[in-house]
Amino acid sequence: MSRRPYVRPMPANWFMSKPAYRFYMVREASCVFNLVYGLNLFAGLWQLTNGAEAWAGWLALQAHPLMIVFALATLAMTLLHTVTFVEMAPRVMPQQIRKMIPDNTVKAAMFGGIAVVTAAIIGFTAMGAM
Amino acid sequence: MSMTQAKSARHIEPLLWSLFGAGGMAIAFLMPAVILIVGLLVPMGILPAEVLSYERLSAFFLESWFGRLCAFVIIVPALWGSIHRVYHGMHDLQIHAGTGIKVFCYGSVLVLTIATVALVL
Amino acid sequence: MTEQTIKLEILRYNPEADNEPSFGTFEIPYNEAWSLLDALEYIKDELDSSLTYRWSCRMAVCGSCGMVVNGRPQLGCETFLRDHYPNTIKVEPLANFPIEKDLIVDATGFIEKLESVKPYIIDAVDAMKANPAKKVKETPKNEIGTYNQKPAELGLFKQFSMCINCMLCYSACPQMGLNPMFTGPAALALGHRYNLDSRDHGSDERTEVIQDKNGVWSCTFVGYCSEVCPKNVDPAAAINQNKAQGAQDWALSFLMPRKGEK
Ligand code: SF4
Ligand code: FES
Repeated sequence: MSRRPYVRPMPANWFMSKPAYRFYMVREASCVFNLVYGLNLFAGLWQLTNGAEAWAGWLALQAHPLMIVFALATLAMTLLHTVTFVEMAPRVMPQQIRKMIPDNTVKAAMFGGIAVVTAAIIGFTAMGAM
Repeated sequence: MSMTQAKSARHIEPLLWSLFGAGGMAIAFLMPAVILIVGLLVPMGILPAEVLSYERLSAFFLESWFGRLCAFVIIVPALWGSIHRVYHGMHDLQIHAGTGIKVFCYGSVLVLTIATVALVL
Repeated sequence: MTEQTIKLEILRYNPEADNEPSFGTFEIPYNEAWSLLDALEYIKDELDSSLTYRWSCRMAVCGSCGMVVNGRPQLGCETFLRDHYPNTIKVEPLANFPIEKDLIVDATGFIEKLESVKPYIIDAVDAMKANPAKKVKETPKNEIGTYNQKPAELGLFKQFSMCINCMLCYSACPQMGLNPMFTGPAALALGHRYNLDSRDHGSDERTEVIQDKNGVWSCTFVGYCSEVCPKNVDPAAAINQNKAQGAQDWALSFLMPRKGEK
C-alpha cells in the first residue's frame, strides 16, 4: 500500500459554491460601498472648508440621480453590515461577560441604540429647518 | 514585558483589527442616518435644503468642538473599517497582495485621517 | 410494487490507480430509517467492497465520520436518507484536507494543530517552570489533591470543551483552504477552552500559537464553522474573543511596557 494523498486546489470562485459563502462575500463587499461613501463624505468636508460655493457644488453632486442610486445601494449594504455586525458583536465579548449578560440582551441594546442614534441625528438635522 | 505582550506585539494585526472594530461600530451606528440625510432625504427634497446649509454645517463641523469630533467619528473609523475588509477581501479573492499594497491601503487611510483632522482644525 | 431506491454520488479516489478523484454513482434501496453511514455500509457490503470511509460510534460522539454531504460538512451518522430522498445525495470527503482514499482524509495536520495549542491543564508549577519570571498564584487543591471547580467556573469553558474533533469546521472554513497554515477553528477553540479553565495558568504559553498571524488573525469571521459544528462549540466566537484579548494585550504593551517585567 503506497500513500499518495490527493490535494484538491482551492477553486478561484470558491465563494460561489455555497449560500453561506456567497452571503459572506456580500457582507464583506458592503465595505466597498462604505469606503466610497466615506471618501465622498471626506470630499464633502473638504468642500465645506472651501467655502459656500464649493459646498453647494458638493450638495448638487449628492442630488445627481446616479448618486442617489449609489446612496440607496450604500444604505442597503450598510444595513446588511449593521445587522451582521450586531449579530457577531456579542460573540466577540469576553466569555465572562457573556455569562452575565445574554447575547440577545446585548443585541437588543445595540439595535435600540442604533435606532436612538439614528433618530437623534435625523431629528437634530431636521430641527434646523424650523 | 510579559510573554503575552511580547508575542502579540510582533505584528500589528491587533491594532488594525481594533480600528476595524471601531469602524464597524461607527458604520453600524452612524452611517444609516448620515446616508439617509445626505444621500436621500435632502437630495430628494423630503427634508428642506436649509438643513444642510453652508452656514449651519460650517458652524457645526468647523467651529464647534463637538461638531469637529462628529466629523472625525463619522468619517475616519469608517475608512479604517472598510479598508481592512478590502485588504482581507483581496486575500479571499486569492489576489496575493504584498507588503507594498498593504502599506498603500492602510497608509492612504492614515493620510486621510490626518487630512480630516487638518480640515476641521 | 417496485422497491424505492435512492442514488448516491460518491467522490472516489484510489491512490494506487487514480490520478485524481472522480464521482461514482450507486443506487441502493431506500430505507427511511437509514443514516448515510448505513447507506455506505450497504454499498460496501453489497456493491463495492473497496469503498473506504471512517466511522466508529454511529452516535455523533466519536467524530470519525465527517464528510461533505451535498456541499455541507456533516457527520455521516447524523445524516439521514429521508432528509434527502428522493434526491441524489452527493458525498465527498472533507474539504481542505488531502484525500487519502475515497472519503478518508489525512488528518495529520489537524492533529499537529490540536497539539500546538497545548490542550492540557498547565498548573501553576508548570507555568512557573516555563517562565520563572512570572508570579503565578496557585489554585488551591482539595484534601484529595485535586481541584474543586464551581459550576460557574465550569460553565465558562464548557461549550468550548464539547468538541469531538470531527473536523467539520476545518472543511467549512474557506480561510483554511486559502491558508493551510491557519491553526483553524477547533484547535483555537480548544486553546481557548484551557485558557478559560480556572485550574489552568498556561495562557502565556499558548499565546504564541493563538496570537500568531496563522492563529486567530487568519480568521475573517466567516462564521460557517460554527454553523456546521454538530456540538455547538461556536469556534468562531472562541477565535474572535481571542482577537479582542490580543488587541487588549497589544494596547497594554504600549501603555504599560513594564508590566510583568522582572
Ligand atoms: S469545533 Fe465542532 S465542527 Fe470543529 S471539530 Fe469540534 S465538534 Fe467538529
Ligand atoms: S460515527 Fe462517530 S461521530 Fe459519526
